[in-house]
Amino acid sequence: MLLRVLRILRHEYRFNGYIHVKLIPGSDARLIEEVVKLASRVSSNIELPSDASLQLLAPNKTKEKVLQPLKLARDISMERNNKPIGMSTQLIIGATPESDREILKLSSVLYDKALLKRVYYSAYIPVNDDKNLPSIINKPPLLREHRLYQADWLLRFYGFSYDEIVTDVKPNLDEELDPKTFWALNNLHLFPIEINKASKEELLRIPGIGMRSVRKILQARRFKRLVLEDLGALGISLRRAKYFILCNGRFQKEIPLYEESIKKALLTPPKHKPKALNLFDMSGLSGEL
Amino acid sequence: MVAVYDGSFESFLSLVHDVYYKKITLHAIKKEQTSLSLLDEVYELIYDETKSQAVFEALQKKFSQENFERILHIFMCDSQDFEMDLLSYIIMGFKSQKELANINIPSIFRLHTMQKELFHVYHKMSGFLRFEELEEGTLYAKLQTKYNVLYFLGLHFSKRLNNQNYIIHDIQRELAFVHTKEFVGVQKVAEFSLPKLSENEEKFQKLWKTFFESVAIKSRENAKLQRQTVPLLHRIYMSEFA
Repeated sequence: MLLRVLRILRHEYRFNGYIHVKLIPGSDARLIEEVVKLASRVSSNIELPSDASLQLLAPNKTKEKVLQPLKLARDISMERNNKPIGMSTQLIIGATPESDREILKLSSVLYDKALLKRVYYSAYIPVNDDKNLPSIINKPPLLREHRLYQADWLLRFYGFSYDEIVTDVKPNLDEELDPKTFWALNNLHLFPIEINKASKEELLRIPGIGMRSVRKILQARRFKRLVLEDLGALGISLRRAKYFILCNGRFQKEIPLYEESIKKALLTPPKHKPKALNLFDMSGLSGEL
Repeated sequence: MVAVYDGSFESFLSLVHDVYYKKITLHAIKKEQTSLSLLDEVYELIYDETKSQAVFEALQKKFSQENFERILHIFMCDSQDFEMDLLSYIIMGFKSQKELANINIPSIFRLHTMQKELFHVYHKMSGFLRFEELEEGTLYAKLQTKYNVLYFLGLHFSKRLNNQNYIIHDIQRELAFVHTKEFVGVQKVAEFSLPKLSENEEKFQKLWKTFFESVAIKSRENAKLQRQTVPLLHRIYMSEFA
């Protein structure tokens, strides 16, 4: 049925745009092969981050079963043109007791095996009551969802490993600070970083500096030694970065390089300006499935 | 001195030629004469096709592909006063191509940012453009944008809808991208009367609107965020917001 729709779209109407197809655990290999040929992206929802939780809340699903269509799709597309088809999944956050470390470990393993291009995290919002579901939580963990997305980006684009972001000692992300700042504060011995000398990878690890800013710094410093004002002129946000960098050997003077003092400075809301984001704005930042 | 030109690429190049060879120092370049103050000394540009052609060929020869395209792209940002920055960019480029990557120079940084902004507009409109079906089956979309992204949009949809006839009409600039079996490209629109929609069009618009409203989750409604992702500026011709 679904395949017929796909064929009609691609062959009869010659639609060349994006088509996303959801795979069901236990699908036949031949069906998946056809889908992989026609779709732009396929996905299969893992839902819960561990076998034990699946057992509890979705007893007819097991990890093996859920991953099977993804594995098949990867192998088939690899055979076809040496490149895995884009695949994604969804994890529900906050319904079961897994720590952020376990969740991120799962994501990073799936990325490494080229099983997935993207994991979507979805905060648990109670719909029906069940003795196995957490009874009454005051609010859906939207901020946690947002932090997980941020950490996910660090895994995929910033060269972090899950081990660095969440350690055994601190298995959960800080809700007050973004994961990169959280990591930097736990690894202050690596800072401050001199922006005129650091490598691309080192620059990417400075809190508040992203891919675009790094590219701008790399391009601009070919022409002169950059000072703090130059960064401002390039439109690079310094709110967080300024505590972690040296500009041409100079370090900002107000805040000493200690975990406590930087944390305090970062969490004090800037005067005059209203707080940039509140909890409810974040839900939409994270993309959905 | 203040130079005045008609806003076309050709006459701008002709002006570049004059500035380069006659060593004129300008402090502003205006598109039209309207906003001139009486105190300004005006440089009257006499358009010369050979000059313009010479500069164009020199640009092709001396500029790298990337920098050459940047000049063309900046010209699509027609609601900005980019002329002085672009003039110094071109003159600097004739001396040294390498220097054009120096984003520490404010004028170059402004041009880079503007080019990026152009592609933001294009990217947004490639999602927010809404086609309507006309009586004879042609798809028709109205467009109103800050920058001239018509050509890029037309190319984008020539991949998506390559078996359809469609017209994208830039209302303010009086331009249209036409895609038919016989002709693909941008045309000037001299006169325009509102075309008749096909019978089904109204039904489809209703369906689309119903989908748009029923897919929304009440508990996650967030008008402010919606305005960030779909700015009011882009909603003018979007059927679901009409």
